[in-house]
Amino acid sequence: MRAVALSLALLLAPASVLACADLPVQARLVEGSHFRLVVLPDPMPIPLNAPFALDIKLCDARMAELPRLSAVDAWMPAHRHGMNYMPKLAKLDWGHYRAEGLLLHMPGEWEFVFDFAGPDKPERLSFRFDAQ
Amino acid sequence: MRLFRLVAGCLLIAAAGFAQAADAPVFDAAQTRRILSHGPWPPEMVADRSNRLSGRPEAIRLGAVLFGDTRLSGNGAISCQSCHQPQHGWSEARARSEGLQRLDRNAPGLLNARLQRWFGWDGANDSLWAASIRPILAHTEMGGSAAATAQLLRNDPPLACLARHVDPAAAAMEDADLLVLAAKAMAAFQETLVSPRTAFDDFRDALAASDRIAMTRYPAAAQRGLALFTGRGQCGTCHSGPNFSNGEFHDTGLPFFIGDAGQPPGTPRRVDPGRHGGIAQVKVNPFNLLGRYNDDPSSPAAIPIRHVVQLHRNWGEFKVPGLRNLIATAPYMHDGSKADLHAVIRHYSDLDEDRLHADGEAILKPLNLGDAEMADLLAFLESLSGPEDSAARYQALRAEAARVCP
Repeated sequence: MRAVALSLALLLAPASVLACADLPVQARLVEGSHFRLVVLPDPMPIPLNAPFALDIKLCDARMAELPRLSAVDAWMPAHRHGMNYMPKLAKLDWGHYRAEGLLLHMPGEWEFVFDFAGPDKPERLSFRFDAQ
Repeated sequence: MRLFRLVAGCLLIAAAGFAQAADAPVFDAAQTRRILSHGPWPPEMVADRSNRLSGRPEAIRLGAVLFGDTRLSGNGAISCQSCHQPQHGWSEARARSEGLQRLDRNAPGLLNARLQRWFGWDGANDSLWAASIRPILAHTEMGGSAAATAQLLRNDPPLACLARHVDPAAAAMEDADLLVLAAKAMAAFQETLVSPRTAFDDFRDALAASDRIAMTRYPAAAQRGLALFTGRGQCGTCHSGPNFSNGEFHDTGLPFFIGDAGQPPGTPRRVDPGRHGGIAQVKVNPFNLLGRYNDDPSSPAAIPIRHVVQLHRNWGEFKVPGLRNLIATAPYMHDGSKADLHAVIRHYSDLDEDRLHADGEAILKPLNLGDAEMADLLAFLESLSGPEDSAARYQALRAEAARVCP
């Protein structure tokens, strides 16, 4: 029964939620404990010292349990500071978000952070990126 | 015999080159990538979409005339050129500028200003044209007004003629619109102030082309300084890109307090808030890129002001200056407190970590440079300058304006 419900949920899910295959080279697939996340920068690749946006899509999440993305940020662990800009997050569709106004102002390693408010407990997904 | 001399000469030159290369550093892949990121130079000229006059010859001409016109000031004695002097890299030799009052900061040089995102040491403006309005209206600087600027552009025959060439409807504009037109023309002129190619650029291009012979023409001391800059010094982390600036703001351990010599004992010390104050100002500035004077609100240039946020660590942060043709712009730092480049290098060598923000840049540490390393870093910084002719082009533009609209 549970498998049928999941299949139905996936069938009903919009294309954006399922579009986690055949990704462009610059896309990042981020693994969480319950779902995966695909992050596509705009423009591609992520520019250094210029504004960009992130298109963020959830994969594998069941509709009934779809977690909600509550914040996107980036910081430099070795430098112990973040960006000088606050990204604006917009929900475009089920499991599909866009974060505007990011800017990596220094070369080096940045960590992108995605905070989710799930049905049970919050979850944080992240990936590191060498900005050059 | 002539052939022998020629061959011997070539061998001597080659030997000198190899001798120089022998004490030059070897750059690893990461350093090579960083060195290449400082070019190519000059960058392509891209029009400022927020300024409909950007790149237009008739506006550049009007802007050059207005830049040197003291009638824009309240007392009729101060022009933009009073502090931004061509012979000093469009900066000035005194530590802190003198407008109608003594100011708290050094006049920033204007070469390559068009490549910036924020303008002024605190980034209180987000366009070159808005930054050109600020000193005209500031009561401590030029003490002018929109009404006086508009009246000048309407009633002074040569200026009215030049403004008409820029916009046939100029005379009928509201005062504020004419002030903006004047500022956009001055910005169009300042966009033309670009520093020349330098010995560093020749080296960078030779490195990109793997031309080892051309690379040896760059002095070994400058190469060693470049290795420090891109390596242990980590200078290129903030002084990044072709203009050697990331266009953002950092606290580099300079004193918070403004040096007001000669004040009576007990006078409260003043603090320059730097970027913290700049963000507050740019957010409420009616001439910012979110306002009605932006000629293209869809331009990417308007993205940063939508998202910039005021943080505690912005207190005492100042903009990272570009390093091209910096020889001409002494003294240095936002308050002009460093008389020469050697003093700047020594500041970073002996950095006072106790003065830095706890939540500031974690990689900023004293470099503890030896004398030879300081000399190398100085040789590299000096190699970022070259002879430039913007002062002559400025005078030519003004002479051309006098011919077009006598």
